[in-house]
Amino acid sequence: MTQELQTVLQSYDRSRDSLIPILQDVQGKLGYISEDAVKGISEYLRVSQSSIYGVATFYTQFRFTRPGDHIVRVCQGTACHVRGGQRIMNEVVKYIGIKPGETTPDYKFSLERVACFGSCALSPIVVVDDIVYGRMTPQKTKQLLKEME
Amino acid sequence: MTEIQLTIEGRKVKAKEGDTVLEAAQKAGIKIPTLCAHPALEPYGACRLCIVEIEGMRGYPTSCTTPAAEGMVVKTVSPEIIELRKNVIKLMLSGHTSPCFVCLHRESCEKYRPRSFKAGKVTRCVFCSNRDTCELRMLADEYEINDLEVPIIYKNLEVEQIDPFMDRDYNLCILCGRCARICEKIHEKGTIDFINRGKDARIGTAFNRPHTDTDCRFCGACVDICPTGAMSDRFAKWYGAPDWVQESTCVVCPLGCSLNFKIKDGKAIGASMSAFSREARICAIGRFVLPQLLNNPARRLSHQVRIEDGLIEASYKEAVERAAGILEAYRGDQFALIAHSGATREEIYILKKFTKEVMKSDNFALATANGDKLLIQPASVLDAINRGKIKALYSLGDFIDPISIEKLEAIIVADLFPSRLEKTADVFLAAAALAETDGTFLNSQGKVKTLKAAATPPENLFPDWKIVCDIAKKMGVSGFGFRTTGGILKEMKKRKAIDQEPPLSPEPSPLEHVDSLPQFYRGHRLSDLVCALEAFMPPEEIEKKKEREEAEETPFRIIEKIEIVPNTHMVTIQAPVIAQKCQPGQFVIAMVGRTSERIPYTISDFDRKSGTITLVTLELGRSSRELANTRAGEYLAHLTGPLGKPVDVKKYGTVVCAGGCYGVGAMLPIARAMKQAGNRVICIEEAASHYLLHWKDRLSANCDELVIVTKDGSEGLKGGVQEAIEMLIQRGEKIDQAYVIGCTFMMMLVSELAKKHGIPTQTAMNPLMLDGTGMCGACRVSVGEATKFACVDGPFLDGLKINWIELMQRQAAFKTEEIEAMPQEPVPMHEPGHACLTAKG
Repeated sequence: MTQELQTVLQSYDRSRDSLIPILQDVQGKLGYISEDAVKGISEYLRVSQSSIYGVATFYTQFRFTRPGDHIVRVCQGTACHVRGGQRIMNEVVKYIGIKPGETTPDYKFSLERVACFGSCALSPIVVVDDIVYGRMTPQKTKQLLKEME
Repeated sequence: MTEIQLTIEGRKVKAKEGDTVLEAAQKAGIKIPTLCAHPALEPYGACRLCIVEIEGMRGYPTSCTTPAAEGMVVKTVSPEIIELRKNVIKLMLSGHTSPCFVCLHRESCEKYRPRSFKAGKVTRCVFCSNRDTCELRMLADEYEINDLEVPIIYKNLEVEQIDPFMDRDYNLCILCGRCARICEKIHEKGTIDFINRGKDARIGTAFNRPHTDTDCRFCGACVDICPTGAMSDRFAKWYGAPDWVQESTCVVCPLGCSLNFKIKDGKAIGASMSAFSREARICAIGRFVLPQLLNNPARRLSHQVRIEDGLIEASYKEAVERAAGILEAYRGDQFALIAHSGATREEIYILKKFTKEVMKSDNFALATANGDKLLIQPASVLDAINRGKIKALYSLGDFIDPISIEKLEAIIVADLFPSRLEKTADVFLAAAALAETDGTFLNSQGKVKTLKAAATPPENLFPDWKIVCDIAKKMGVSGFGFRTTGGILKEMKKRKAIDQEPPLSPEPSPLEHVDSLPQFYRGHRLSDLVCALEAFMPPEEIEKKKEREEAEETPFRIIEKIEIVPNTHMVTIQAPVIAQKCQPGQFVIAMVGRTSERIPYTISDFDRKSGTITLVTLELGRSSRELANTRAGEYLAHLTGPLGKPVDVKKYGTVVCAGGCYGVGAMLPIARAMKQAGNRVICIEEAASHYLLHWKDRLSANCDELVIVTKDGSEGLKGGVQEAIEMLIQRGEKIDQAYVIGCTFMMMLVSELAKKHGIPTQTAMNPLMLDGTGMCGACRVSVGEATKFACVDGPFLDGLKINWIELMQRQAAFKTEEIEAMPQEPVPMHEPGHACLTAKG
């Protein structure tokens, strides 16, 4: 168990109720829920690894692979869709060469699709590392990603 | 505890406070259907089948989770409840591979096909090993479900055969959670649980790891508690439901756990824990390995005696006489006997008595296993052998190395398996053991456990106590006239010769981790006998099994291998000479590996230009599994063909080509040739459900009309080929010739109909076949008065005249042997691209 994980675990009660807060905390610190993290949590909470994995896979907020340095989210909600969100997604897929849910082999980018960001007035939107970019076009998105490299 | 009274179905019923409504009803003998509920598990309320109406409560509460209360008025049956339960079952069947429930031919299918097929993937009940004991099926029948109203969705999850001992097909899972709950109950931290969400929810391990990469102890509780065929015991599954169950004791390690042997036709085909509790848990050896030891292909089933420098088979009497004769010459301290720690108390007593009173020797030793080492105690016996002091040895297993063997003059072995010692033996007595013998066993907790003879030993094989008694009697010594182990125990008690010292507990316990499973039985390394154990312990000879990887290059290279739809595989093979010469309707005989069976396969397509032929097969047993598990780039060991007579291609008028299962592929070249010959060709493709339909495009391109017919009506007509032909006749089609390819059952039903309407019908025979050239006669088929050989007179023969019942009987001649031959090795997960192409859902 890494020191980082141990620190996270020690701030919680050894109770099954702590599971989701721990998972959130681990993902916040480590970026994702690793196999080692599940093993560590299992030992700490005395809950089986399969149950922890079961809970974590129930919620879409948890991820199980190391994310890229930049997390690119392209909104595919109704408003963004109407205003060309799909074309933006296609451009991103073509440009960084991965599908939604994947991470580039060099861990530079992770790509995600989101259903709605609640910023419909700015649609179509792209969110990179929690910064919202509104009124995007495929061209502007490509330029944005280029600058990140 | 306070007693309460409630009314169920108009009856006053007493219950204890804390009982659920379900428990109260069950105690009163009132039946409420359940699936997720199990006596060993806490109430769960997942399946919704046990719903009831309770006065004063809204809706339909689940009786398994509702506590019974004083004065409650419960209704367990009403039109609304029945309707709701029916819908629950229908929804379960919708996510289960269940076209058999709605099939028009179910009754005759079950009549003519009493056993399920040994399919690699279950695509319907008739392919499921759990058909006879499926709780879902029983409920569906009880509620007379014969129309689903909802589509059947094949989830298309890869069947997990990657682990030792068990197959998991979550396409059959109904998410009752029994397996995950029992796993947690028994092991505290479970290996499996619900993972994912919504329609992707399933049972699985953390990160979908194989069970060998988890803390799974392979106790098999999940397999035994599963109400469907989703989890199965790879070894036992195809034998069918056991005839009876006998509680007995495992003697492989000193824990001496209780277990239940499942007996079928006198054979122990499985074992399970005696109760679904942590206290009753058993290890993988008890659950899965014991039956595989008794039914092991390596097991010696006959006695042998030495003639000059070789061993020959002998009767029991001859072997006992020879042993007695040899031992006569070695009385005194030049004799030693080595028994094993898995012997019963009665056996140990008799073996000691034999050593002492018949052989007048003190050299009695016991071989015990400690981890991966064998210990012989007292060590002085082995010393004496090595120093040449001991000249004759009676051994109950494979305990001493070749150097020690060299020092001996006479060797008598009583054992189950071949060994180095057996090769040098003067007499080998094949013994009965484990589930075949009775007696008592003192386990490491100091408890006396009982062994019950449940399985019938192979003919003329006897337990060790009986063998030794017979030798003693032959040597003219009295005091060995025991008829039962009970008699021995009586003498032991009388002589106060009962050992009270329990053996040491194995540390760490095999119940806790697969790394500490017992590794030996009678000195034999278990992983040498049961291949699946290689996952936990390396076998002695590592060079085993490499055969496939190093398969020789032959001319028969596999160009493409695809699983077209679940359990149906297409293999395209480089075979220019066959491709050049073959005609529609002909077949080849293929051997996948050098030691494989030769199996006939109809040629489903050929390409003369590229020199390839294509075979389509269903995985339904050992040999078709070998073909199904090949990959592009590998080679078949051998391929012979084209064999058999081509179909007579000429102008008939309207020709119907009908195929089901593997026959869909096989009818393609016939349809193509008939079309080219100027016929109007109607193809009929039959499948159990939409998710099994394939090659529609290829067939459409080679016929005038393609009629689709499914057993569940999910696509095209509802029914089988015969319903499609009826439809054609009804719309005024005049059929001049029909070709039918598929399972014998389907061809029989179609032929009956064709006979009624006078349609000339040729059916493709698939009997047992050996050489394929008319020499052996195994493939004979009665056609009217004549006997035809499917290999040279067929494969297409006149369906209207075939004796179908006789054909089916002949096909079933080796049913048991076919089950015994099923491979027990884990199968690696298919690589992407190799897996089934069916779209999900």
